[in-house]
Amino acid sequence: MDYEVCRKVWDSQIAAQITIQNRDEILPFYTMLPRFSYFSVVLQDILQFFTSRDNELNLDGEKIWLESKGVPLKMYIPIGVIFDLNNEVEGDTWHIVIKTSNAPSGYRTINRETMEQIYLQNLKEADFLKRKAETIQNMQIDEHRMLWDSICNNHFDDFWGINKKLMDTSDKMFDSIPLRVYERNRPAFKQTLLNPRNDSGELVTVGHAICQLLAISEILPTSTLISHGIRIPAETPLIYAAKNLTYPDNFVHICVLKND
Amino acid sequence: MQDFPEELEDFCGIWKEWKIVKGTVPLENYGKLLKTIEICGEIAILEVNIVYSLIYRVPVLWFAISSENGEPVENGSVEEFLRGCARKMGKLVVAKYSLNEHPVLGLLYYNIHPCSTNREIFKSSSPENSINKIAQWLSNYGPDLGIYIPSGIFF
Repeated sequence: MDYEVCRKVWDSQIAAQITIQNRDEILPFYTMLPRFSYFSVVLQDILQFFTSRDNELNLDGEKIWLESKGVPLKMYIPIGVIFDLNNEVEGDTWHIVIKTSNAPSGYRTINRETMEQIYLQNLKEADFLKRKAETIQNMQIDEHRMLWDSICNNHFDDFWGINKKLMDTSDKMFDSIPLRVYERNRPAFKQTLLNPRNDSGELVTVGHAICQLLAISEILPTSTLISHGIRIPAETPLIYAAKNLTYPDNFVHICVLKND
Repeated sequence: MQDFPEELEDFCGIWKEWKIVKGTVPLENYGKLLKTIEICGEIAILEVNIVYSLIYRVPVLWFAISSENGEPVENGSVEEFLRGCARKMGKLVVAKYSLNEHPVLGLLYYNIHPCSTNREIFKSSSPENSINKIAQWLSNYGPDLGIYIPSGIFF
């Protein structure tokens, strides 16, 4: 693990302006959203801010949903991934609307407790890929809880104090690399089994892994690979990404964006 | 189980209540069943999908339960439904399940955890064992969702 890289990835934030649908008289809420976190985690504080300014405002946390530029925002995908996928311009303020109308079909608002379960399932899946889930099964339930709490409370040191166990390769290299790839025209992310080394023993690169995953022969020069708002060179070793560029669910999340 | 698309086609061809939904590649094809169920006296619609997991290399049951007007039911109702299915099997504990993104639809669905899936079923079968592999698998894991294979159609 490269401490500087992991720390910078953890600390990166997005400036956001949040408004409420059809309530132009209510001043927007401005905040910095941690890229690694989830809307399900930060929403409680945002709603509390609005209701503390206006007692008569009734925002049901289970019914509202989020949208930006007409696109519903998934509450269970890391905030940074949604920002990158929607091709927002880095440095610009992200305009997010809290919608109180009926949510689009299939959209689900997720509270923090449900998000914790989704997070843990993802974490288990990532460790299943890396080492058949042996590490996570040997951890205490309290440690799972501490990982989640450190995300909710933005405690980098607490998180990495435990997460280092899941990242340890001193005894054995990961079997597969947990990578999820997003494209704007696909409703779901893609993932599969990806070895960190090829049959010749060479390190597999991020570019090769994405080609395998998307069943394409090459990354076109008109496409950009983005994670944490950073352009990822296609020649980056996949194992480097898995050790330094993962989100807290232990997956590397990369958006493949086609430049217009 | 690279022959999942063929096995699925065979399975849905025999048990006609299951329909195939085509994905962008054959391994993304999945089987879909809609069934009317009752939870605490209320009528609801159970949608079950058999989706191949590229991670676990086995089929996985994904499901959603909605009320008659199409709204997803509360988590408590889902738990109650699974508890009822477990009781029917004489089990005290419900199957391990959680919400996550459906691998093809990109929407939140519940899934039955594949960690306990018996992978032996999916190893290449001997010529004399020609029973559809998805049917063999579903006979073990379908009851978690109250799905029982009608007698005589596969076995």
